[in-house]
Amino acid sequence: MKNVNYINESKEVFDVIVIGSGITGGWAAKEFCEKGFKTLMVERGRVVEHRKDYIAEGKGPWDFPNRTKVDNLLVEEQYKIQKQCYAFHDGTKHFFGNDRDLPYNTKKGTEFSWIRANQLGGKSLLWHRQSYRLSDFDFAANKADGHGNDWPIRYKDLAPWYDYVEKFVGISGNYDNLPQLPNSQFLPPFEMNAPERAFSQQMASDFPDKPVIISRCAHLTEPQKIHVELGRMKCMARNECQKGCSFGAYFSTQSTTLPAAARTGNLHIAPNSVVESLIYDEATNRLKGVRVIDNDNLSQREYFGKLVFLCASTIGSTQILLNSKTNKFKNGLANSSGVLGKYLMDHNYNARTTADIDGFEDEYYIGRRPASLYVPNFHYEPTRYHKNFIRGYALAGGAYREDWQSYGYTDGLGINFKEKLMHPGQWKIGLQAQGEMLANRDNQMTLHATKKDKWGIPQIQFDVSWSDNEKRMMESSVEVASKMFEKAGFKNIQGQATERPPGIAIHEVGTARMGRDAKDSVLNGYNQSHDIPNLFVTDGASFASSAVVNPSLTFMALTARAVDYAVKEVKNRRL
Amino acid sequence: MSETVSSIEKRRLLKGLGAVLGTAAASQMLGERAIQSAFAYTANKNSHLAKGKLFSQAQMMVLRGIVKQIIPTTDTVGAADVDCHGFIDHQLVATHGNYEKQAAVAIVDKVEQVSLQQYKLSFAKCSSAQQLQVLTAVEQAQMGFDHNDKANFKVVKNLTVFGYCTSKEGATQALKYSYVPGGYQGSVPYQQIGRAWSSKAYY
Repeated sequence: MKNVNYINESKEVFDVIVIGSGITGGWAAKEFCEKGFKTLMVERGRVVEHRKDYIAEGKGPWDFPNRTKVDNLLVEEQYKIQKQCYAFHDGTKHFFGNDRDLPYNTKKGTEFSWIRANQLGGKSLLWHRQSYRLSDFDFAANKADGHGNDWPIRYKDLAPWYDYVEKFVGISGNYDNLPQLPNSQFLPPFEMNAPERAFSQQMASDFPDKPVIISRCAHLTEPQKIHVELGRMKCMARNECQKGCSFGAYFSTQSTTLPAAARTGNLHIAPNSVVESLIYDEATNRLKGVRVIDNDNLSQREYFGKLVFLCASTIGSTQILLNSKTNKFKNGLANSSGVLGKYLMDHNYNARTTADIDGFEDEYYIGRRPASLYVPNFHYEPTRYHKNFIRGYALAGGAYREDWQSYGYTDGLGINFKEKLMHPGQWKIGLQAQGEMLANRDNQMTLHATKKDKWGIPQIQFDVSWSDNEKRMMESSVEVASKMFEKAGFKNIQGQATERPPGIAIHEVGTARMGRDAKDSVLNGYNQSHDIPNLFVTDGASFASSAVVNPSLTFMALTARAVDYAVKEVKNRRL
Repeated sequence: MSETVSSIEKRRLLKGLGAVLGTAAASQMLGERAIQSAFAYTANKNSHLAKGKLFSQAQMMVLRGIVKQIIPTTDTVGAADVDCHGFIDHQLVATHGNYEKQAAVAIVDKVEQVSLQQYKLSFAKCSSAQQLQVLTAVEQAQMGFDHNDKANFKVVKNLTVFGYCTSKEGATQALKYSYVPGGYQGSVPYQQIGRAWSSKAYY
């Protein structure tokens, strides 16, 4: 890429070190670079260049050795966990972490599916791109019902930063004007198909508290100047995003924040640099830099900076802090509160309800929409809680015509069967629950006492389980979705709660939470460490609750706000 | 760098060849590229004439007959025309577990056995009508086939459909393939498209 300085050895003291290059790290680097800070982005994995390294893009299924399926032996040896992700296939596997090289442990009797993406761009290449603001109900929920520590911020603190990042990212969506799901700065929404539109209209009168809207996603439906300048183009509705998108139509580090950071001339990247720990100077109570193990040859080196923005993913960032033990911080850096690693959360995607829709035989669609139907959380304040659980869930899904992908399991042979294959069939609809997970002190990650990875870094041990609250929520979602389908006149309604482990929603948050009090939180309301002023953690680790909505847009807004704050603190010589 | 598919394929191939040549010699003989192409599936017009990776040559003949009856040649190509039998033989070894492998072999053998009993002919030599009768009986669990056979048949059938609809000819001629749709339109009269989409986000 033009204007990026890739470095290996350097004694330079950078204005800021950003650890990680995913959604959060990309935003931190862009903001600092644009503010004139000489920025070093430290990435543990290889360089992935926009366009050039999207090696599976533009291929039909027939171009893959196993028609997009991944070789057994390879899965068995290297991708046993990663294969659980819906987007894992032969065209995307090179953007997933390697389970053999990245081992971790779970406490006996528990499971945790940890999906990794250790390369430049991180999970921004693989994410599902659904983008929602948290509402004031979300920020106030912990205080309102007493579960979890109060967020030190409210919606009004973040709203201008949502505005700011959304214009740059490009979020498609409809102005639905819902109190529990604030509007974003929208590009035009994706369309609903015909049965979806009919369903949405009917639900508006039958279940006014459960509006069926089109989802909001980080895709350019109508690129603006700010996007085109970066070489980004309109979304082509391929929905093969995780192979990489040369149109730059969805937000990724590569398509969006990296070129913006690079054009300032201030961006430096140290790839293949696995951060082992942070360098802490007790005399000044400041970080001085990072200790790095080379990803390939395992040699050690150090980088130096005046500020450290830890954006290595929820689990990655906390792992680095836990592994940075000093005389003062014997249980991990910035951990005077003792809550570092605790209150790990994910979203619970453990219920799906489906049905058949009669009619609409003359209706079809063109393109593969990267958006879905969405029913925002309707249990969004204590007076609206269900009697069997606290907090709530959203429903997401959509209607489609059944086709050859399921016909292989049906009866029929010969010319008639072939004729059936060649045409779309029955309309179907599905709604998947996306439930909030409560902040629970017992759900935690720690460093394993003896096991290390190949870089010599202690492996993580997870101890995370769903509580009964989360399970009851899933059962309820099936009842609610079934009632909606019944009212709509849909047939063959089926739904059930499943038992997939935490982690697989890939919305892990918490473990270095924000809070007002240094005694029970790691970060203040600006994502700044209570203990060490020049340390910021702006990724999902900072969350005080999981809320219901997809978290990435909030990572971006929190990061842009934290950079703005840090820059002002530096300019005012307080940092 | 993480291990690539080609090195996995190399180990798999070396395991086979090494037994004959010795690993070092086999390793020397084969460049990376040769190995990759040796294990990637490519359509073969004559895969029924040779032993497969999983199936014997005789079983390949039966399998070819089966896929031909599931998706016959009409004004568009059929499953046997695009080597679905060769694909199934490859795919079962490359990406499926023991359950599917055993199920597929079992139903191929059972189809052959019933043909011999019923028509005194190998399935591959039966008339098209006879073949169709046998496979119809599988789906109805009749003629000596039971529900277990029916379940086993679905493994082969599903792979046939998948292999056909992801083959270039099946995907682009029998069905409609759109790599770059250009945007999403939610409501389009079906006649305007006229075929089911083969192009999918996740296969």
